[in-house]
Amino acid sequence: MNHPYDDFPNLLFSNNTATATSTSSCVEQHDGIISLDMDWDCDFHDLIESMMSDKGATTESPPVLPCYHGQEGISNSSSTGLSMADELDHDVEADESKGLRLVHLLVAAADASIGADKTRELTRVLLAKLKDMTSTNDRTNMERLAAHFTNGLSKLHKEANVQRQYGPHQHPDVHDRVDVMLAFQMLQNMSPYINFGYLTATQAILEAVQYERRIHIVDYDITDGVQWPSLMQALVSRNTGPSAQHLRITALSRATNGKKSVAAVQEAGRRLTAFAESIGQPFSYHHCRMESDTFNPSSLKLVRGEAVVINCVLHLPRFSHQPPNSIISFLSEAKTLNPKLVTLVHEEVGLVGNQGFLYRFMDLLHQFSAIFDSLEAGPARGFVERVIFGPWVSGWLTRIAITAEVESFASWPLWLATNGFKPVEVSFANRCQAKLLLSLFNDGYGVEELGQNGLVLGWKSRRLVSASFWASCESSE
Amino acid sequence: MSLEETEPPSQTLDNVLGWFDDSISLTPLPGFNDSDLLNDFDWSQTWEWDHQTQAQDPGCDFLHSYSQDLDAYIGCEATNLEVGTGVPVIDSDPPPVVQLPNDQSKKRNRDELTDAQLVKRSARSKKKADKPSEVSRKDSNKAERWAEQLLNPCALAITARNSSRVQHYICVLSELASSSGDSNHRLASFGLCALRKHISTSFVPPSTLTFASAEVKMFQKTLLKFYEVSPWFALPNNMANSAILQILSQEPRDKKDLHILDIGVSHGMQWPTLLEALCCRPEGPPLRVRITVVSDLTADIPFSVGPPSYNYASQLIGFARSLNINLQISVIDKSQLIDTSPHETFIVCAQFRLYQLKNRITDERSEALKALRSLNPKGVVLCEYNGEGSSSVDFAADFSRKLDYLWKFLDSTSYGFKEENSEERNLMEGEATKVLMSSGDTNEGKEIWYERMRKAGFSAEAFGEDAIDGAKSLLRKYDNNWEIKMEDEDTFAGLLWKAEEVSFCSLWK
Repeated sequence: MNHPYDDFPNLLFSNNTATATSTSSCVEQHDGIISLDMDWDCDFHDLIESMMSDKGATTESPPVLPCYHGQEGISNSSSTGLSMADELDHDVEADESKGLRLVHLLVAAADASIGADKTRELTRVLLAKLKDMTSTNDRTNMERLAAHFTNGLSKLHKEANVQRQYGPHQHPDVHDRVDVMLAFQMLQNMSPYINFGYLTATQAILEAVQYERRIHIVDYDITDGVQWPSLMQALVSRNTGPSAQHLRITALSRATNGKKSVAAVQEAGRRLTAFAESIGQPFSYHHCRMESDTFNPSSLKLVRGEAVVINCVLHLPRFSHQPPNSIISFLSEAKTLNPKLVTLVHEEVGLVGNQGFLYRFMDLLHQFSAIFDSLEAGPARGFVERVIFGPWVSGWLTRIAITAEVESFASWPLWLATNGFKPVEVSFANRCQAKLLLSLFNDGYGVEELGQNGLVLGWKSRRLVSASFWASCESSE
Repeated sequence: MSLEETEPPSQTLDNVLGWFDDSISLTPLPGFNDSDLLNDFDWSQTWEWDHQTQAQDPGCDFLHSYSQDLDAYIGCEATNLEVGTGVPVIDSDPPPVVQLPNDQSKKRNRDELTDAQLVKRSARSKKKADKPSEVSRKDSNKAERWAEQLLNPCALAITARNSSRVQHYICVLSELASSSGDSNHRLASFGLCALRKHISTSFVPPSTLTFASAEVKMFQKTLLKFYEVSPWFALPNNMANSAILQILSQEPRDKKDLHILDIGVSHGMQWPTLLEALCCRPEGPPLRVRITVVSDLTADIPFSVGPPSYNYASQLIGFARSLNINLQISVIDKSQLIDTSPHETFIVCAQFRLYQLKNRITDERSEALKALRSLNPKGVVLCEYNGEGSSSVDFAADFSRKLDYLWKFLDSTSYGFKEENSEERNLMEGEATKVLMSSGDTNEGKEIWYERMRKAGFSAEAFGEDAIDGAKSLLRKYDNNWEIKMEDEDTFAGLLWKAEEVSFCSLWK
């Protein structure tokens, strides 16, 4: 399942000659005899050559395919070995060329979908072709990923059609809630993606509030609260009895997400309260509604002398829609609370601000192919992909398609740095802990430091998710 | 803490961006029409310039070039709003400024168009804009034509020499091309072949059926079938015949003979109905009917060259004899002299052939018309395809016009032929596809032809009532997407498919 040749960005992008040959093979496959011979006139040829060599110079030598571990190790070593069986070679080439064909079609479909009415028919034809070619049960990563992207684009396409005829309409993703929670847990076991953010944020909070009697965490998006049991456990193990620190969590819910999110926030509160009680952690839980995406700090219950921590985890899977103006409102108002710490966890997608849909689309495709590549194999993978990744991809596509939101994707750390927050250094312990987390997973993961106050989780050369820590400039220390 | 450190360093955006840079540098490419071409060309120039500097600082430069592209895109949207599709592509120079779509600039714009023909054209496009239904119909036509939305950007990428983008489009087109699907799939397939042939000398296009390679019986059957299902040639032929009768009726009775110079693509299909009509005249047929057919076996334009062994002359003469008409047919090469005599009414019938003449260095088209004028014909019937604007040397613009022509042919043919893949349909479409492979100039707008005719000393003549009524009743036989439009005091008969001009017929003296 976790085939080394599924590493599509490597295949597609790390080696120019590979790109050229695979393109021609893709063409070849279609016409039998014809290969695309780029026999350009005069200087054109030179131009391409110079482009090739240019890139060759700036590109590091193509990475040797890493030795995969775990259950996949054996089958992979045979395919990466030099004595590659002929038929395997052929298979791999076919996979590779199909992957490339899919990427071309996806990019074309994304490109066409920008054209709105003008290219609606083209979009439809391209998506129909993609649907024919892919299924979420396909063999290779690229095929399955393409299927999810196709579904996401189709949804956008349909919504646009429906909107044209009947006005805006929401299509909620229908997956059983239990299924979703189960799949989310499985995902946490298949990849450090989720836990990396939770763990480093939690660790930074623990360090920041070490000597505080009362801790108040304001959580921008609590989802189902899975981030907090580990923090409670750490607090309990650190000090019990009369010296126990009191923990208060205020979870925000946004009016735009409706009753469902209110219910989920309350449900998370019940579970966290029960958990705190079971381990003897003094705990109280509040729920604060954000009206029309503006955060009003006066609606928070504040206790004199408590240390305020702002926790902001953005756009992980399962999270509800987080409009940038609501995040901006939250962070800028939160500054008036003089927080001891602001934790910011976000995915490394769409960082280059105003780049146009197609660029963001390709970035997203690249991001998800890295994530797909990095996931541990296992019998549950198909289930996780369907339940988590399907809606995740589709949610991202909707997000990057909304042009109004685009500009705010520009790096959030940059926003914090220019809006009166100062960096808080990442501790040695936190770095070690992150590395320890990664050692539980595939070899391709790495932790990089983002300045002094951030950590970023990467897969091979791709950054996946980052965590950074801040405090308001006025805060003491 | 400096900002640079919090920003992700650009080197981590690994080689994938190399591909982005190339592939995205021309985006966004909107689904475009001819008026976009000007802007697109402009992009290509900025792209080349950007590319040279790109090596130094990829990230920064990428942003730069991208924002320029974006500006160009926005600009081109703005110009679209203003001028619609009526602007002819005549200038390969980059357009200097994008004008804002406000009233003042519109006015100024129109004032600047000093060329009479351009003024007329913009006036015409304005007239069209006044009819919302027609405009929206055209828009929906364009939206339906997805194959061109891939083929045209690909041609642009070729002229912009953006190889990764070319590869992208070729790959996507290969996925969608099919010579047996609907019109779009077919156009994608034919267009892809043409593009491949253009960029690769070693590319051998799959053999398609053409008139020249067809079997005689098959060829004849195909022509009959095509005339039955499509007015593409039937209508111009019909109007030409009516016009010939009209001219004859105006001539003095003492001229007993009729001499027609046939520069056409009908392969004899036009004449039986004329012969019959001549018999039905109260005064009966002329004493002698001569048809001089100008053949050009070297022509690479569609429909002009039949199978070498095809000879309709004897059949046609036999048919004439059964009507008691003395018919003579002679075939001459285009360079041969034409002998006319004062006893005969000499009429030139030029249909869909003159556009093959080049007009790049010397305007062969004008020369040919002048030569025709020197023969002193009593009438000239000129039928040509009605393209957009004038021809240019630019590959992408030229290719786009050829696609437009081929689309109308394939689309209308798909309505005419009920069978998906009959031999007749394949032969007609295979022959039409030659347009993409031919080096010849593409179709020009009728204004340019009108201008030439006037310069050569002809003046336009109105079609008579019989001709117009005859054409209208003929058209009722065919799909109702076909229309005929009389303009300029009935001197111009336009044939339209789905509200878009296909060809025109005109009569000159």
